[in-house]
Amino acid sequence: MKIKLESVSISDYDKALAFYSGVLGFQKKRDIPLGGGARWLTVVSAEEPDGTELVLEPNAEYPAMKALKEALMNDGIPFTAFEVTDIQKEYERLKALGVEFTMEPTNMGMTTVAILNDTCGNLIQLYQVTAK
Amino acid sequence: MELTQARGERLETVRRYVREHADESLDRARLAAVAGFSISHLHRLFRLYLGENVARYARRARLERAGRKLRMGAVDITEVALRAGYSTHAAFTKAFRQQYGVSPSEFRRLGCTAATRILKEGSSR
Repeated sequence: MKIKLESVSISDYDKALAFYSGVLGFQKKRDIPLGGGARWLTVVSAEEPDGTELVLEPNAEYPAMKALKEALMNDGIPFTAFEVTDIQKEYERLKALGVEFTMEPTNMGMTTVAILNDTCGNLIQLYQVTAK
Repeated sequence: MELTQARGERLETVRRYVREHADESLDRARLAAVAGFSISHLHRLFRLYLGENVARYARRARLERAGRKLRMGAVDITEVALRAGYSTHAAFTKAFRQQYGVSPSEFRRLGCTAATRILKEGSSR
């Protein structure tokens, strides 16, 4: 058994792709039309093109998901997390691109963590492992 | 004075700006530019319709951001205090306790559910 997919909840494919690819820097891996406007759209890390794929999942309007996303956003809790090698550098790069951070890099002991708004209704945690 | 939709939207823009820039010192001229009001008009409207002045709202936003860091286990409370605009650990502890009813170190030991409840209750005061 392997973990090959992760997902993030979105409502607009192109807007989400613009952020996850154009801003965060992931690469589009698959964009398969499923009919009726639906797509199987995934991105991967540029550092790991054969690594875990992130599915841009268009379920943000599903009532239960909508309620969950709003609650997480209001409470400041991230939807998911991505690892980076230099969080301060990444923070500064993304800030310069206009990304909103709800938490600047903060030392949590084993990790240093920052939280950003993905413009798709999710908070995303970035973390750098600083102690092993 | 009537709160028109346009005024309401401008005030909401100011509130969002304050929250998004909670880790920066409050620049009143910048705030007025964001709102499209003069500084004095902005303060009057903010207090009239939101029940508190901008500085107090910004202070609560900074404390909430600090609380969220502590909820995730931020190690250095002094660093959290400085980023929240407090020059000493003691001043931050006093303000945090006033807002949330517990000290930062007590708060940091709570689980996520309890800490989130305290943040929500404290932020609505």
